[in-house]
Amino acid sequence: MLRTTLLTLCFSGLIMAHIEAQQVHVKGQQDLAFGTIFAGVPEHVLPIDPTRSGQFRVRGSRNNIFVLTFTLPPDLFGPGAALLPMGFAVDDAGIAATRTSPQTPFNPNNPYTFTMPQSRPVFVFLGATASPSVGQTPGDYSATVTLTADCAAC
Amino acid sequence: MDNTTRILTGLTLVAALGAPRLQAQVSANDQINASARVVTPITVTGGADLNLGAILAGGTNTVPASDPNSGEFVVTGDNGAGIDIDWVLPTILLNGVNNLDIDTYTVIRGNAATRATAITDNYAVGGAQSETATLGAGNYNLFIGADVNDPGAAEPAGFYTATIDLTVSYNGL
Repeated sequence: MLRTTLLTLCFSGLIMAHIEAQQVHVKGQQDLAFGTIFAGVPEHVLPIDPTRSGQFRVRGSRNNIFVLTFTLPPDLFGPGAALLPMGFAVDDAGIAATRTSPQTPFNPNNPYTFTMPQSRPVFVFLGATASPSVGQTPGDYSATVTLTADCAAC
Repeated sequence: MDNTTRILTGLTLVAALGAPRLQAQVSANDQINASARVVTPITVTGGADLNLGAILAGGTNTVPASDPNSGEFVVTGDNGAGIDIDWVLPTILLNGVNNLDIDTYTVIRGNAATRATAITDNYAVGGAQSETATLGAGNYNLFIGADVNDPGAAEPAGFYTATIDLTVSYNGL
């Protein structure tokens, strides 16, 4: 009886360990904040900006391969359905082991594949350029940015 | 396998299969906001020079802010925005190496484009020359007058000038 139970416990442990290895978590850490900008004057927030860049934390099992995909709005929405164009350059995203360590830049417009390091989690940063027109309606603008992490090899 | 073994085995399998960790995620996402506050840039335009006119030795000359010869600045920006107003007011008018002393300045300001707006500021030369205000829907207008001291009989005749600087910025940005 004891041998059977122990075997079963070992079996269940293997199942649980295997399933856990496939988990991935994404958590938004900081909003992308342009702050106050002037009509007619473009504003670029760098991904290395510590206080204004968008930031996510991605957790997953070590050595698994993940694909990051941003859903990026082309505009921020403002008063009276006014639109504020927003663009993302090829180096407007970055990934790093901590929120303050050097980033590896990547293009947020394309999926980005990486291997989860031993020192998981990783942090993903996003910059952008807002381009208000000269006659841009004054007021507050906002939109939602989504980061999806898919496990490509778990 | 006796009944006890069966029960333990069953419980173990239930624990394994029913554990929350079995709800594996191979894909996850989360959202953040992107935000901006757009304001209209402030413009400051000199609309009219302050013309103190002809001044005779032995007298003074005062041009009130309400006078048609007072200087004028026009400010534009966001309706309802708070602004800081900072003057750099000269203490003298210059004509080469000669100068005329200015005694005081007077400013009237507001959203009306006339020289009869409600707020009046009086500045002694060298004193504090800063104010705050709130922009209205249209232009914000500032009219400035000055009082020139008696030039004295020895003051060379000529054309005396100086520059008045006005800086306006949004406050709280």
